[in-house]
Amino acid sequence: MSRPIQVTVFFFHTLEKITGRKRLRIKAQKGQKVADLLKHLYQIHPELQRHDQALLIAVNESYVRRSIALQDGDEVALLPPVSGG
Amino acid sequence: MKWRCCRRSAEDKNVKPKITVMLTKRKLSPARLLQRCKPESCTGAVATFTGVVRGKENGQRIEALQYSGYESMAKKQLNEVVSAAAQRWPLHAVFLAHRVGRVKTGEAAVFLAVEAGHRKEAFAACKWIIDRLKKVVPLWKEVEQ
Repeated sequence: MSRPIQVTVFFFHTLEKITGRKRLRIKAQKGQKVADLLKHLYQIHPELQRHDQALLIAVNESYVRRSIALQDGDEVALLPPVSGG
Repeated sequence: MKWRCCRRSAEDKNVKPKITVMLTKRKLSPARLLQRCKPESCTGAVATFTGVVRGKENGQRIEALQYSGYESMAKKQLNEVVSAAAQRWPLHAVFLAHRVGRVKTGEAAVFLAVEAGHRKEAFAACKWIIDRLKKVVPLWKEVEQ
């Protein structure tokens, strides 16, 4: 049986408004991918799923693909499309 | 459009690009920031870009923009964007500052200065950096009307 890990999810800008929170600590199984985490988050906050196509994901402040495996202590950021400048 | 990198001249090879990036809540003064540029003796061009908050968008009056961001990642991304530009073009220095917080109409939200040996690479890098910033740096703006 795989060891549980804990990750912290951060919600930014419109996503913070949708979820009503800035961060969320989540227990996951080692080897779970970003995509698995997203599915889990969509169960907690179904309205997030409407933004799925546009979501950018960062782990520990670097953009990642949804296929990467999560590690214990990872900081996962859900980012809506950026609009700086 | 595909950018073509310029060849580094003998002078450029001796210049390690000086990179400065910042996020700030303070008002940006492009003229004052430009004074901070201390061009190398081989620098022949300083291209600048100032992004200013428009007073109108789609017929709607705008009072200010409220910028927020994932600030630690935004600083990292700003550095990465500028470093990538310095790999593509023989740059001497880049200064990039972006506001966070409330930025009133007419004020500068972003200021960029790129120093290089010649205008071609200075202009090209300046445009590339600001275009890239708008795609990858986790900053968001909200309109205040």
